[in-house]
Amino acid sequence: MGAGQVCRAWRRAARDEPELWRRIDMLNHAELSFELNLFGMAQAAVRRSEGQCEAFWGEYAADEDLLHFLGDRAPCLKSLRLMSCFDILDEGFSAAVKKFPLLEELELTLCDNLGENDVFKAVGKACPQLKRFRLSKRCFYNYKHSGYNKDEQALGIATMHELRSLQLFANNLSNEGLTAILDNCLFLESLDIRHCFNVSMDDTLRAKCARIKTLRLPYDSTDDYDFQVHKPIWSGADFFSDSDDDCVYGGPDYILDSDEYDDYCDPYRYLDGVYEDELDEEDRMMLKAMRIHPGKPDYPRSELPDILRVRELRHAPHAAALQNPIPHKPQPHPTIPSSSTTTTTSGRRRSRRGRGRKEGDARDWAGGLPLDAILAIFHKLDHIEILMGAGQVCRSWRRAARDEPQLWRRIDMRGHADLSFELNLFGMAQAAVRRSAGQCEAFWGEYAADEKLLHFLGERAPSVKSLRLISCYDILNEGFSAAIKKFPLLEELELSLCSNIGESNVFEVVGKACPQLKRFRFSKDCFYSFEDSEYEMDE
Amino acid sequence: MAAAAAEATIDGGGKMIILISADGKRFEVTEAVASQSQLISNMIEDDCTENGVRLPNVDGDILTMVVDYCNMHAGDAAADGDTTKASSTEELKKFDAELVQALENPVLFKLILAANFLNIKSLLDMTCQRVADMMSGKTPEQMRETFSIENDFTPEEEAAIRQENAWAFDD
Repeated sequence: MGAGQVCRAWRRAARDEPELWRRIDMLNHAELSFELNLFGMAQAAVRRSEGQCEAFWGEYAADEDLLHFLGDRAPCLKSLRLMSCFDILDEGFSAAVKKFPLLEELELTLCDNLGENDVFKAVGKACPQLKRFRLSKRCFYNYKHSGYNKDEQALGIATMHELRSLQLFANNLSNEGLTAILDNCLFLESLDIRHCFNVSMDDTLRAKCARIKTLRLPYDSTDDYDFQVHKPIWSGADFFSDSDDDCVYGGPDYILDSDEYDDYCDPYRYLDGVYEDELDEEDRMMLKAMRIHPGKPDYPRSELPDILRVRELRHAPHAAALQNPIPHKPQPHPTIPSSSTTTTTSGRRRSRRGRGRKEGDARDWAGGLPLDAILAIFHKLDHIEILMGAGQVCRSWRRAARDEPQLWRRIDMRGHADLSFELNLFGMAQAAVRRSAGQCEAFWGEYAADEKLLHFLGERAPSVKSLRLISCYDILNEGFSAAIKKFPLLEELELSLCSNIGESNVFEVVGKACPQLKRFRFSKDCFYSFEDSEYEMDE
Repeated sequence: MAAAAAEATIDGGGKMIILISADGKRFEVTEAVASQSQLISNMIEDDCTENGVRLPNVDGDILTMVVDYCNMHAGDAAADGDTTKASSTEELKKFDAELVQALENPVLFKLILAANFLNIKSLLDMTCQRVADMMSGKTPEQMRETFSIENDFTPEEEAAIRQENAWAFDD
């Protein structure tokens, strides 16, 4: 897509290194999944590996056909990591996994359509060498209805006898399931069951876990968790009181919840998260991988920055190409230490030299940063700050703020309630949406959205997955019902203190329009007693 | 510095790598320490570190800080194994906080450039966060002042920006 055409070193790498395709990494391109045929691209990559492919990592990039293709073309696959591959179902996966007898690592993250029908037993049988298994769900949901076997997945996992490392995030397994795993997976060294709230650690379990070197328990901090952490859903009435008020939360959940809630609200997590979350996640995952194999980094610790760069190159080829340091080849001419700029910024500087910049100590270090460094800084700011401040400082900052849609993939305009009387937050939100160039996946607004904006957002950013509206009084039932139809992919919806929404069957419309909704929060500003009927729509 | 490098040799085992700064200062570090830089890690993989790694973008002063940082953090990358070497998390946090607090322009930006060039994610994160904290709540003019950034917009461009941002105020 780009990396092979970026610069000489990259081109050479893409052309002359057949083993490049030994590990196929298609993570972190979620935003492309609507523009490009990632399945086809994955297929091309598999084909190029000429049977040598040992690892396939795909995000939105695999369906069942691809798995079969992969199994046929790359029978010696050792690592398979699938994220958000919703098109893979239990039966298809059970059939395909038989083609990977050498698999040592398997990850299924946010693959919501996988997990029943004894699929993990099939994995256990098909992959006798599986050493690492990760199964992460989006959020803990306490299934209560009868007939659901909470431990079915755990019993399946218990057939993976060679496991060294196991992560189950937000799984429903109970003590029995965990006991089965511990009794059957005798080599387990690392176990992470955070957010598996059906497990209560008693003495028996603690004794069984004593041999585990790295242990993370259900209520452990999720600070270093690599995906977005969602609040658990306890179903029924619990769910409601839970989404009602974060402060009124008692018992042992309190710490966890507030902790998690902090994470959830902390923009840093997201900026460095979501689409960066994905980046960071990778880095963290690498660290985790290295923890498991100390001193033997199977995988490069972090190739994210490279991926990030590829992305930048897509958006701003010239700027980025100029700044991109060529990895394997430090520039041959040594720069003069105190007065010259780095080679990475020379392109930008040259264009400015005509304006008579001052040389010497007062050098414009901040303005002359390469684009990726500027973006790294901007990701730590919120979007109003970028629009109103950082983006108006100098040319290079402005360009970074304006021409990088990736910066706007998650638009967070909360926390500026005080400005709502001075500034036109609606207009600002609109500008932010426009800058996202259709890539916006999350819009969070406080006093910052009206119905017009919702429609605008729906048209410009059809792939929005998360919509959180706080104190948006200008949105009424009818307008909201109409606008919500433009967000078919919505997975998260929050309406807090939006006191003009809530009647006229508006939630039925939401249920119909957003079949993938996974998280819903509806909070009012004062105590209320509410009858059910709308949380049915939340799967 | 030399002391830190020597210490690394003793308990880090592994191969040593020589990093050479723009002004010719040499730093000897273990592979484990150096490979926190993705750039160098790639070079290690490609076996092109034999004659030392020249870093024409990074001055000796900055490289000193980077190497200190990597030495401190070599622990969490290696993990498990010997806990003797791995510094405690709290110590690390304290070290990081002190390091980043002490930074002033332009050293802070030089460090960001180095972290960006060497591709050391955690260091880049930390330094960028510091800059973001310094930017928070400032007007563009105050930011230019804080970071001595030259206002390189032409009057026409400034007018265009004002107009472009007019929506912000025309509530």
